[in-house]
Amino acid sequence: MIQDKQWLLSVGVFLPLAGVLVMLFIPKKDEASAKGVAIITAALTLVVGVYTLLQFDYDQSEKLQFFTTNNWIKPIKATYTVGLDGISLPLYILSMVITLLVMIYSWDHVPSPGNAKAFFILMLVLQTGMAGTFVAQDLILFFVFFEVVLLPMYFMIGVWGGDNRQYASLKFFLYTMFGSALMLVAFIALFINTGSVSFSIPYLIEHGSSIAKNTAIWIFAGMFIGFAVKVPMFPFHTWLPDAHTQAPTQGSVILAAILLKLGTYGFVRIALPILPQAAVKWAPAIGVLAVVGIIYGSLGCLAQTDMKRLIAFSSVAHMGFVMLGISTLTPLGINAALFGMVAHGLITGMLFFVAGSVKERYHTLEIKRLSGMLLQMPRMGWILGFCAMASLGLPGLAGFWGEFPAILASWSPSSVLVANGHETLFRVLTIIAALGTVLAAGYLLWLYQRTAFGEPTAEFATAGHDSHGHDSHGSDSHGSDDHGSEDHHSDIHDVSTFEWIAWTPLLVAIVVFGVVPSLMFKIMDPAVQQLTSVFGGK
Amino acid sequence: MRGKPLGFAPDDSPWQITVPLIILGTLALVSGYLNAAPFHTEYFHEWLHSSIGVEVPEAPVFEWINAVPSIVLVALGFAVSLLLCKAVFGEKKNALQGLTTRNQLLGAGHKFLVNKYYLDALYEKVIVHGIAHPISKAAYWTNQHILDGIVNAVGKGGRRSGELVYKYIDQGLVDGAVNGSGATARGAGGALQPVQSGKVNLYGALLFGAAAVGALVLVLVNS
Repeated sequence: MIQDKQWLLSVGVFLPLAGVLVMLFIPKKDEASAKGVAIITAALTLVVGVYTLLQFDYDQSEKLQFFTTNNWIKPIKATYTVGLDGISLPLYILSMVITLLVMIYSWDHVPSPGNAKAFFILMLVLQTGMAGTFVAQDLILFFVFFEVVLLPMYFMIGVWGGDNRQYASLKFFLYTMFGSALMLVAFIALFINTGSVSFSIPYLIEHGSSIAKNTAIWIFAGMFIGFAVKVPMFPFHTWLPDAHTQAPTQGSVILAAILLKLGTYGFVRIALPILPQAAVKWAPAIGVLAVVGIIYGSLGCLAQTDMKRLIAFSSVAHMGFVMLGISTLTPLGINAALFGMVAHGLITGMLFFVAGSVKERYHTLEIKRLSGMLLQMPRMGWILGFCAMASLGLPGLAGFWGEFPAILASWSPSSVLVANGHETLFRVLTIIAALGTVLAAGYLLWLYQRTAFGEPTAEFATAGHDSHGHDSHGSDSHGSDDHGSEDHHSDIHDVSTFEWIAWTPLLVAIVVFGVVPSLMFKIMDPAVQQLTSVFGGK
Repeated sequence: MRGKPLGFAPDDSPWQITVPLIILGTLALVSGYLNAAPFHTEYFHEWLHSSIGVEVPEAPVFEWINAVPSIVLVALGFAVSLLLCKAVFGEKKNALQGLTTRNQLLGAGHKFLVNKYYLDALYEKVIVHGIAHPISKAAYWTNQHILDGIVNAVGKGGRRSGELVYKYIDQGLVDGAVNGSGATARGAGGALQPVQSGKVNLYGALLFGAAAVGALVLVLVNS
């Protein structure tokens, strides 16, 4: 552990709340000031993140850096312990980048029924929860941050969502709370079974292996459900399509880009290193469920008629690849999983951005009504094509480095899994997962072909072919699909300035990490090597 | 030209098409040698290794004995197709020309090849329409009606349990007991009237006594 600049992570995590405090004094009507303060706060938070990147010691990325620990809730021995290593650094920074970009996008895209102040405040609170989860090194602190994100997202979906928002938001909240409850029970069991000394993650990593095997397997089960719901893994995924479909664009982007990663990150940060013996027992089941998720999610995509719901189901499939990588318990697999988390965040975040903008223009996301986007909005059409290619795992773009090494790793799982006789199972999983990539190409190209190619459908055909882009001043429409679209033809325009500002960094990152994946792998690998050494390396 | 005459005059490709084709053709010719084990070039493997930054599983060792039969087969196929092309499409008159129209069996074979072994049809008609679509629909039906059905049933069950607990236990049993105890308290209030002397220290003593009794009960229950 490196205890240098101990204030840095706390500033990075809580700075958004300082912005919230300032925003509370801004009148509700003064939307520009509220938005401005929120964006400046998010930008300053990212500056702190960039400073963290600069101060991070990349030669010791396996160690927790900027580490600090203080008493927090003494009676239950919960501490305020934070630290950052190569596993959490990319996700910590990603959360800051996504929040800022989503806020920039929101400048002229505050969804109905408005109230920019509350909407931006919720995003800042979300940022604190997300960043806090990635730096927390105490289970109770982790749990608190893990839960902090629930409430803002519940309100985002419930207030600014689509027609069925109340059902979706309640389902999202209750489902994830159910998982969290079991996770908390598992944390307490872990605490008691390690002598009721500390909830500190480094301490539990040191003492977790002393827990009796059967007990460890049960504790792992509790954590598994908590994290699997969040990922979400098949069969705990049914909250996701509803939440994504009903959430406003910003909610969908944050949900896909960061919130889902809290679950996969939990597996890598907590479940695997603290209970390695149980992880070995659970790995085959996780691998099987991951691959079922890949195929099942892809089939779900093929059955969709709504663009956003299709992208939501694709997340189930993509997170299946992440979980497959984790289940191999190898450095290659877990590196791939961590890379896949970031890549999915960038790519699917972009896809949801595009879906939101398509909905704003056409007032529908019904695939059969969308056609000829490349003619009507060539830039938007190309961006959708680029993101579809990235999402299907095209080499040279970020998505490839999440999927391909995960599949490769599943062919040669950890030696401890081989010793337990699981090699054949994992090789079968490799083949099925590889077939899943074909299905991914199928549903994404099918989506792209039907929405972007050909002539615009008759109902939108008379819209202007404005390819120059201009700022939109409307707000997202979340009402029912408007079949009398004649009135909305003026809404159909190409990428606007704010959209360009919000999207360009993500598009660039997808290419950069696709061409030079070692930028991220080099940061993560030492920490992953340390984590997997307990499973026999390879 | 041996087929039907075209209804338009074909143009040669403009440079915008020719140049990319030349680039792609050149790359197609040489890119395979980026990872050619017999010539000890492993650029792709090395690139992958350096890109990921972690150890990539080693490829199997190359052995000529395994490669020679395939190479010979490919060379033979290449030679035969070259000769066939010369015979069928060449300027010289040849017995092979028009063979597929004269011989029914060869004609069927030709049609089979022209249709690319009917793999596209197999894919489109059988796999996509016959298998993939019904399976994806079935998977989605399962998702909406079974998996989500369970989730919704749990939610509805929870709400119903809440209603039942509220109606029969909270309002019926607990509140009934509370109302009953209220009546008891009214009775006891009359009996304890002398204790209500208005002295704060007496109230304190009573409160302390009640707490002490409560604590004693807790200790007895937990011991």
